[in-house]
Amino acid sequence: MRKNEITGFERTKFLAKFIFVLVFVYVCLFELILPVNKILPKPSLLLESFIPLIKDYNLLTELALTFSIVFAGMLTGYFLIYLSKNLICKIYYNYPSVTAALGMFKYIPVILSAVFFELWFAGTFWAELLFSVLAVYSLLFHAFISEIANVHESYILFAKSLGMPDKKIYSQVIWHHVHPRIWESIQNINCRIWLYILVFELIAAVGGIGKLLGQIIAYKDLAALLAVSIIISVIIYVTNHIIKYFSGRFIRWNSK
Amino acid sequence: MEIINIIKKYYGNLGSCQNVINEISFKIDENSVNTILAPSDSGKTTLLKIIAGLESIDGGEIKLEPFKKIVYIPTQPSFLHWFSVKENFSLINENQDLQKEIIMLLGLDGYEKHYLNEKSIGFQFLVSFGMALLSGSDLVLVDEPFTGASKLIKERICKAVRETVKKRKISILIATSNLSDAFLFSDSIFLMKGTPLDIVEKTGFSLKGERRYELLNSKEAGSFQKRAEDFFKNNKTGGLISF
Repeated sequence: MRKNEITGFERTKFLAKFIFVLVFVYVCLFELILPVNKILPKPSLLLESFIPLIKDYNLLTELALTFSIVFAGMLTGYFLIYLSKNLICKIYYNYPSVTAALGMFKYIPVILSAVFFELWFAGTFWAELLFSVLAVYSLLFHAFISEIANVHESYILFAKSLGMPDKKIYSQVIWHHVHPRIWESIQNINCRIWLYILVFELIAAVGGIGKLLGQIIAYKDLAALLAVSIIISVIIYVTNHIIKYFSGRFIRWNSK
Repeated sequence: MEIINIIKKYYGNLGSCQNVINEISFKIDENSVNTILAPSDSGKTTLLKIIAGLESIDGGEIKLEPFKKIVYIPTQPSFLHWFSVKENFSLINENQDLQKEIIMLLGLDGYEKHYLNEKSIGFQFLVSFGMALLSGSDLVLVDEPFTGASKLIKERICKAVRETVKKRKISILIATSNLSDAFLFSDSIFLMKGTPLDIVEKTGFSLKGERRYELLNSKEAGSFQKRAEDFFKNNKTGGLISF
């Protein structure tokens, strides 16, 4: 281990200390010094806001809906990338201009896509699910394409020279190179997809945490907003660690 | 196999044209280890890729007979490091008996379940070589595979390679810029001057016994070194790794 390298335990220890300091400052500042302000609610109010969040805002149902949409989207998106891996490789190697053209889609702001979906499908559950799947697929597709470029030519030349058919080269050589990067991307996507779905739900107002956020904005309920933010952050943090754990269990190699 | 007057040109984006290979002709015999000795970046890799059918030519002819299957092993590791030795082999040919035979021949027995990432350059080369043999290759093209390997490793590889050539009746064509590698491994050496790859002078020698680094102190090695150095000096070519 290098001198400046920190272990996972040290990182967790530092994070725990950081959160403790943050909470301490928050409690001191907003409970004792500035109990009435327009920046953050005082801690006691924050604690009290969890009960109305569950009872009045129907937090658990809305959270379950958003959670299902996010993770159904991620699972389906991953599964679709796995199924279309040979096609993506074929397009990349045989029709590079198509790949470049598809790359243009990443410049379309997500909020516009969400508005389009709302107008096309009038905010149904299935529209939200489709939006989630397409968003995840598109993010994974861009990760896939950018990683294919890093596959060293020698692997492909050797495989071709051995007489491997293209299909086998795509599935056994390219896919295995790209796979660790796909798992790394899933961790980033986990953060981004929450944002996308919240934006979609806020616009479409079909249900979920996005709709709940809309209500919070309408009531100007700062305590509920902070409570929801904390809950979502914790969910993203925990699920990211679960993804990381699975990635470590099933991806034992590195493409670099 | 015969290479007759082959020409390869590379065209730049602005219409520039560079000759990489300039009317080269030479023959490769069956059951032999041959080496192309030329400086770095002189077009050796391009030549090997052309012979393997991975690149086109701009002129000349290649007669592949009697070889039926040609495999090119690149300089960079090209096996699949997420698979074990056995899994890499199974990807090419599932015939267990043949796999076992090649594992024994290359001295890889006991390492079947090992992954290759942490292994030496020599071990990684032997696995790539084993994959080439499993694919039924009768001419293996090897592109500077021993760069960075120790003398001991090179001697072991040399032993395995030469035994394989003898037992499986295959031929090998190595491309290197290292004089001692060329001398240690080969039955015949083609001296070529670089960029563009040009002029072929063949030199051959029959050394008895096992190929070891002590042979570099022999008379044959001395005369080979002098001949090679004279060739490259006369052709104003540098960039070779001497004994």
